Amino acid sequence: MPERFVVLRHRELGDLSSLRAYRAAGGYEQLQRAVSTMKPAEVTAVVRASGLRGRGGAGFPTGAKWAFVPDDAGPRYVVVNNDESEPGTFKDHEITLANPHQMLEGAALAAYAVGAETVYVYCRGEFWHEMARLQRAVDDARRAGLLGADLWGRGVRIDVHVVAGAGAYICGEETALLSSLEGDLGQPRLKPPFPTVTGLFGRPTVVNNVETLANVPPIVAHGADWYRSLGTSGSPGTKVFSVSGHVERPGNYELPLGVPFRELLELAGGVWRGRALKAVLPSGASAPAIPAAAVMDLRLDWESVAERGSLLGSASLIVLDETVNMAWVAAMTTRFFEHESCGKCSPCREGTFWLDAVYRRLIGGRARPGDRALLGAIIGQMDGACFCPLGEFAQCVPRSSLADFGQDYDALEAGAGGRPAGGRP
Amino acid sequence: MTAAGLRSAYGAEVERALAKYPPERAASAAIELLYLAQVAYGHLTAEAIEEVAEVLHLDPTHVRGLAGFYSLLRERPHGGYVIHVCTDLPCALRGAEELLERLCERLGIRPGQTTADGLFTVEAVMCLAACDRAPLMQVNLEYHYDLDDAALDAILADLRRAAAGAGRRPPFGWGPPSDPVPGGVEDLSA
Amino acid sequence: MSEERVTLTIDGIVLQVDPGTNLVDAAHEAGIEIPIFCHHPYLEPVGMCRMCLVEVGLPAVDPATGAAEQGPDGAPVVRFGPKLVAGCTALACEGMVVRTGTPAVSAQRRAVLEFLLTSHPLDCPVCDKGGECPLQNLTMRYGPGTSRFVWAEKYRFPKPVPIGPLVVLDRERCVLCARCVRFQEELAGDPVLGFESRARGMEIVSYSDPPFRSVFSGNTTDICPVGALTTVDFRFQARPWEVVAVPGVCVHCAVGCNLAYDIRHGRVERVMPRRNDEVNEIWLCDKGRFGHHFASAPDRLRSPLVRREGRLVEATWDEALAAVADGLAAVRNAHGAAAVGGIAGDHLPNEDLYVFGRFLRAVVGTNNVDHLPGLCRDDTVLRAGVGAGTRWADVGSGTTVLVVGLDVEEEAPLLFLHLHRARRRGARLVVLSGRPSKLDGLAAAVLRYRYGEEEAVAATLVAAALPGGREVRARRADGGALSAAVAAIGEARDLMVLFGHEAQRAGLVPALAALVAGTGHVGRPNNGLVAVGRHANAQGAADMGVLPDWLPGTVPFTDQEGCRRLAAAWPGPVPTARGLEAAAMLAGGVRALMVAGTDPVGAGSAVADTLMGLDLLVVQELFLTATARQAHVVLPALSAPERDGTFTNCMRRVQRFSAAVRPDGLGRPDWQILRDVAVRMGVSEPYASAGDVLQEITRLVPGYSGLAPAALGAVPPDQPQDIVLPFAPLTAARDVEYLGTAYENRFGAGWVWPVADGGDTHRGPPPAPPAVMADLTPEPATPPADAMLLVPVPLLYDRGTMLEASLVLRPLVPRPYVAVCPSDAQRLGLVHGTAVCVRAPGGSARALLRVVEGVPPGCALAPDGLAWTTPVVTLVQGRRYAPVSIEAAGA
Repeated sequence: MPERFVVLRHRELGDLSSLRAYRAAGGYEQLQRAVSTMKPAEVTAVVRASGLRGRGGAGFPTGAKWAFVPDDAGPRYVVVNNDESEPGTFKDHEITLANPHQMLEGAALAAYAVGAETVYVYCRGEFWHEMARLQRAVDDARRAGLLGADLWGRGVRIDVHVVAGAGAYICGEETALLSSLEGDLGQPRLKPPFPTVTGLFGRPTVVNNVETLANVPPIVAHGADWYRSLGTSGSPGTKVFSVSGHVERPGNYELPLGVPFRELLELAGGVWRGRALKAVLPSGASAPAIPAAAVMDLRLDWESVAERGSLLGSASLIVLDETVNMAWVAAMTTRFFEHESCGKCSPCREGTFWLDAVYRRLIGGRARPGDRALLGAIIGQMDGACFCPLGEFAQCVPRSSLADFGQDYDALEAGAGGRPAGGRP
Repeated sequence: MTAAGLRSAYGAEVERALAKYPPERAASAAIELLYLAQVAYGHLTAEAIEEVAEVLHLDPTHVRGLAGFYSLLRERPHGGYVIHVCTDLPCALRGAEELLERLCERLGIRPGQTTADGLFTVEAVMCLAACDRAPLMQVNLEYHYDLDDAALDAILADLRRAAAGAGRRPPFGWGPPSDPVPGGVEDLSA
Repeated sequence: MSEERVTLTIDGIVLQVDPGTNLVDAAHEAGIEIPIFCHHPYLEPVGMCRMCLVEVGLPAVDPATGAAEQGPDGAPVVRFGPKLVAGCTALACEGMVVRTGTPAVSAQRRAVLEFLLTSHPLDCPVCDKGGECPLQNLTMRYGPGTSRFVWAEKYRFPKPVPIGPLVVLDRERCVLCARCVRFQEELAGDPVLGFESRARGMEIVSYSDPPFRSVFSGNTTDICPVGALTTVDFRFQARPWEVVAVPGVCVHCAVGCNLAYDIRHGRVERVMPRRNDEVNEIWLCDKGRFGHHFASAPDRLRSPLVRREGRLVEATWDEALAAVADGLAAVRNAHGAAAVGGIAGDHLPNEDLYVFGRFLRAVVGTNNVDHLPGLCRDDTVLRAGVGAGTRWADVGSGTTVLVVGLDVEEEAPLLFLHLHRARRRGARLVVLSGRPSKLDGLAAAVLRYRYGEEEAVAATLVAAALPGGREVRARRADGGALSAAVAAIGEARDLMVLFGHEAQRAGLVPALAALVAGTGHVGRPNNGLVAVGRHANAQGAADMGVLPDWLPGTVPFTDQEGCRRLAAAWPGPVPTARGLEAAAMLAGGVRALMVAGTDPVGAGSAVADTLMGLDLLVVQELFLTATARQAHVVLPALSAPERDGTFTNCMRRVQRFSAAVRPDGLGRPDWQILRDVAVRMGVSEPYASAGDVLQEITRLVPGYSGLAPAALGAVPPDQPQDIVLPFAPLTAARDVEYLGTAYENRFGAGWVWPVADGGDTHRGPPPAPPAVMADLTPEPATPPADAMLLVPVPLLYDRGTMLEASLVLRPLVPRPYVAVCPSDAQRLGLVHGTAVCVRAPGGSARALLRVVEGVPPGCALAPDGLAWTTPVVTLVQGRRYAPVSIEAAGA
C-alpha cells in the first residue's frame, strides 16, 4: 500500500514550514471558509462525521470530545499536546518542523468550533529550538491576519501561544498537562470532571494531539466521506506510523489505518542486517509486545490490535530483531517508567521503583530465585490500582515479555548480559 | 528584598511570558520564568527561586517543588555545554549506549559529571522523539542526529572552538526563547 | 436539607447519606472501616494512596428504555465494574452497592501496604508514633507479615530532618500521602510544605523563612498517618499507651480550644487537641500545643510570701492570710472601703473572677473592681452579640465577616482557620485595621485607617453601610475599598463583626454595635458582635462583673432589682458609690490593692512608684512577676491544669476544664484564696469546691442561669461535679486512622449563653446608630513629614510569663523590633535588619528595624511583650500610640 500524505504533505509538496509555502498549498483557506461561512457547530459536525480519533495514543473520537464542551458563557481553551515523549514516537516532531502551519490551522479550526479564543501549544521542553520556529510561524500567521483578532472581519478572535514544558513524560497525559500549564506540578487530576467541562483554569478545555489537529484542515476541505474512504470503518483516515529500532530505514510513514504490518515493515526496508524479526512493540513502551509470528499480518488499526491483546496507541512501532533479549527490553521500558513516574499514587511510585530494582538485578547478572515471580507479583499489584494510565501501561511490556519470552529470562538468570551487542548502524 | 537577576537580565522576556496568560493566572508562567532564571543565575539557586516566587506571588516552597519535579530545571551547577544522550530503548537498539561510552571516554568523565574545565556536562536521558535518527544527542537542547564516532568528534571540536573563540565561558545552558532563529524573519511580501 | 438523601448498601448494610458523600465517609458513618492514608474528612479527597479501593456496583439501566433492570426476583440488577474503585473519590449514589470484604479488595489492601512498607524503616521501637500509628494498625489488620523485597535496595533518605523549629521529619517513614501539604494549603492558609523531586525520590520540603512557617504546624503531626512528622516537644518523651488524657481548655487566647493533657507520672507529657466542632474542630495552634510548660515551670511560686523588713520571705498560709485580712481591715477602718480596690487578669476562670468581684463588693464593701486588659467594659455584647446557635460550619456563602482592629492570626489563631475555611465556602471577609495581617490576603475589602483617625473611618463605614448611606459613599476618595466593604455588608444575609483590643481602645465598639443593630443583623445565629479578648477568659471577666460599674451578668450596678437579688445571697449589700477603673486605682486612687493574675508593672504601666506607696498590695500569682515583687503579700495561685474551673470564650461558650496535675507546692485556686481571706475577716463563704462556685453562678448571674454542670457536658449524674474525669483508654477515645490523634470529646462541648432577644425588658432596645458625619474629611490628614507614631501591637509568640517556660517556642519569639513601611525606611535612611534607637515620650529603647510592606506610612509597629529594655507600653505612656523618632543606632 503506498503512503498517503494527509498530514505529512511536505513529503509531496516540499517543505511547508514557511507561511508562503503553506498558503501556496491552500493553507488557511479552510480556516477562512469556516470563520466566514460556517457555524462552529458545523465544523464540529464534519469532524465528528469523519470519525477522526485522537492520534496521541488514547484514540478518543475527536468530534465527540469537541461536542462535550458546554454552551455556557465564559472562556474556553484549546490546548495542543506537543509533549511527544513516548519512546519510539517522533511524528509530532516532524510535523512541528516541516508542516507546522497545518497543525496551527487545525488548532484554530478547533478553537473556532468550540468557541475558544485562546490556544496554547504545549511543547516538551526539549523542543527548545522547535518552539522558536513555531513561535515564528505563529507570528507570521498573525501578521498576515490569519490568527489574532477579528479574523476576516467576523469578530472572531483566535490567539495562539507557544508554551514550554520542562522534561516530564507524564505531562503528555491531558490532566497532568493542564496542571503543568497552570504552574503546578505535572501530576494528573481526578476525572471526572473531564477537561472538556472543567479544564484549564477551571474552564472547558479541549486537549488534542498535534497529529490529530493536523488532520482537521483536510477533513474540513474534503469532507467526512472522503476521510472515511481511507482506513477502516472503526479507524478512519491515515496514521503517521513512527518506525524505529532494528529496521533499515527508520522513520515516519503515513499510511491508511488498517495497513498490515508486513507492508509497513517493507516500506521501512525490512529488518536490518538481514536478520529475523523477533517481536514488535506497537505503541512504544506502553503496550504489550507482539511476537513476530502474530504481528506480520496484523492490521494496524485500533480494533485489530486490541483484538490481538495489545494497543495501537500512538502507533510508534519499535522493531526488535532476533538478537534482542526481551527481558532486557522490559528492563529498558521499566527504567523509562521509573524515571517518569510522577509519584502521586503508591502502586505506580513503589511499583515502578521495585520493578526497576528487580530488573537491574536481572540485567546485572545478580538474579535471585523468585525474582521472576516477584516481577509477576508487582505487576499484579499495580494492575487496576493506579491513579492514571502511566502506572497501568508500565506493566504491559514486562507482562507480555514474561508470558511470551520466558526463555529470555532464563538466559538472564543464567548470567547472560542481555544488552544488544554491536548495535551501532 | 530578593535579588533581581532575572528582571534585570530578562525584563522584557518576563513581561512577554506573563502576557500569555490571564493576569490572575500568573503562576502559569512559572516554567518559562524558571528557564530564564536558570540562564540569568547560571542554575536555579535559592536566590533564583526566591525571585521567581516573588515575581509570581507564589510561595518559594511551591516554586522549589516545580524545580525539583521537572528534569530540565537544574538546581545544581553545570558545564557550559550540557550534552544529553538518549539511551532509551529505540536508541539503545541502535548503539546509543556505545555512543555514550565513547563520549564519556573522550571527555574523561562519567554520565552525570562535568569536565574539570567546566565545558561539558554529560547526562543520559529518556526518549528525545527523534528515534529514526539514532543514535543522537542534544547539546544545550539543540539536536545532533545520526552520530557515529567521526560526527561526535567533529561536534566536540566545534564546541571547543566556539568556546575558545568567544574568549569567555560559552553561553550557559538554555538561552531565552527569544533567541533569534537561524534564517531571520520571513519576508511575507514576496 | 432540600436535597434528598441517597440510599446505598455497604457490605449488606443499607444506609442513607447526604448527596455528595464519598464512600469512605459513608462507610464511616455506618461504622464500617474503609482503610485510608491520604484521605481525611476535613481535606479534599485526592485518591493518591489507593488504599481505599473497593468493589462498586451500580443499578443496571436498560439503555433502550432508561428503566432500571430487574432480576427474576424483582430486585434491581446491580452491575459491578471490572476494576476496583477508589472509595474516597467515588460519591454515593442511589442504589449503589459496595463490597469491602472481598478477596480482590483484601489483596489490593495487602498490596498497597506491602508497597508502602518496602521503603518504610523498621523504626517502631524508636518511633514516637508507635501505639497511635495508622500504618501499624492497618498493617496488623490488612497487611503482610513478611517482605518479599530486598532490604538493601530500599530507598534511603538522610534522617531525621528538622522540617521546622517545632516539627521533625523522617523522610523514610513518609508515605507521601500529602495530608500535611494539603492541610497547610487548604486549611491553614500557609502553603509552606511542598513536594520536591519525582516518583520514589519525592520528599516533603519547606522553603519558607523560617522553614515550616505556620502557627498551625503541629497539627500535621496529628494527621500524619505514620511517624514521619513528630513534634520536638514530645520526641522520645513517652509512649502513647503510658499516658492518661485529661480534658482541659487552653489558657492562651479567647478561642478556648479544647485540649487534653497527656499525663504520665503526674507530668504533662504533651498537649493534644480534643475535638469540639464549634470551637477548634480537631486542631490546636502551636502556642496552645507547645505552650503548656508554665504548669511545671521551676520558678513557680510555691509558698506564700510576706514582706518583712523590706524583703519578701516565705510564710505559712496562716501568716499570709492574716496579713491580708488585717491589712484590709486596717485600711478600711482608717480610710473607708473606697480606699480598697482589686484588679484581676483575664485568664482567671469564671469561678475565681466571680468570687473576686463578690469579695470586693460584699466583703470589703467597694465597687473598685476591674480587670486587665479589659475588652468588654459594658453590656454591648449582651445586646448585640452573636445569637446562640451560631455555628462556624454555617458561615459560608451569604455571610460577611467584618474583622475590626484585630489580627486574627496573632491574637486568636483558630479563628483564622475558621475564617479561611469560611471563605472557601463563599463567605466574604472585610478587614478594618491599622496594620497588615494575614487576613488581608483573603479579604474582599481591606480598609486601613491611620492611627488617630480610626473613629472617623469606622464611622464612615458604618454610615455608608446603614440604610440611606449612599451620599456618604460618594464623598470618600479611596472609594474602591469602601464600596467593596459596603457592598459586602449590604449583600450579606448574615453579618458577624469580630473586634479586638485595637478597636475597643479606639472607641469603635459603639459604632460597630450600631452597625449590626441598624442593619438588622442581631438577635439570631451567625449575626452580631464577637469580642475577641487577649486571653482565655476575657469574656468571662466581663460576664462575672469584674468591672466598676457593672455587676455579674453585666447588670448595671445601679439596677435595684439586680442589687437586691445579689444582696440576698451575698454577705453584704452592693455598694452604691461608683467604683474606680484599673487605671485610676493604679494611679493612686486606692490605698490597698488586690491584684490577681495580672502584671501591670511588667506590662509597662509606669506604676511601680505608685504601688510602692500603697499601704497594702496583695498579689495572687503563679510567678514572681514585677508586680508581685512590689507586694506586701504574695499568694501562690494555681494554673488551669492544676484545678477545676470554667472559661467563657469569645463566642460566649462556657467550657469546663478539670485538674490534670497535682500542684507542686502550696498554691491554691484564686477563689479559695479569696474565700480564706474572707473567713479571716469574719465572713464565712459557702464554697468547698469550684463546682460550688459554679452552682452559685448559675443561680445568681443573669444569662448563666441556663448553665448547669450537666449542660456543660456529659457528666454522669451520680458523679460529684468536680471530680476529675479521665478518659476511657486511649484507643477507644480516638479515631486514629480516620481523624488523627486528636481525642474525641467525652467531656462536653460547652454551653453558649444567650444574648438579650428584646424580650428582656430591663435591657431596653439596641443602641441607636450614630449620627451621619456629614462633614467627614475626604482624605486622611497627612502627618508632618518626619513624625512617626509608635504603635504597640500584640504577637502570638512573646515573652509573657505564661510562655517563658516553653523553651521549645523560644526560637519563634523575635528580638524586639519595630516595623515600618519601605517608603518610611527609605525616607529615614534605615536598613532592614539593622539596630535602631527608638525615642518616645516615655523613654527610649534599642530594637531591630524590619521593613514590611503594608505597614501604614508614618507608623512604627512595635510588638509588646518582647524582651524590651523599656516596655513598649511604657514608651507610649500607656496610650494607644505616641510620636517617636527612630534613628540608626551606633555600633
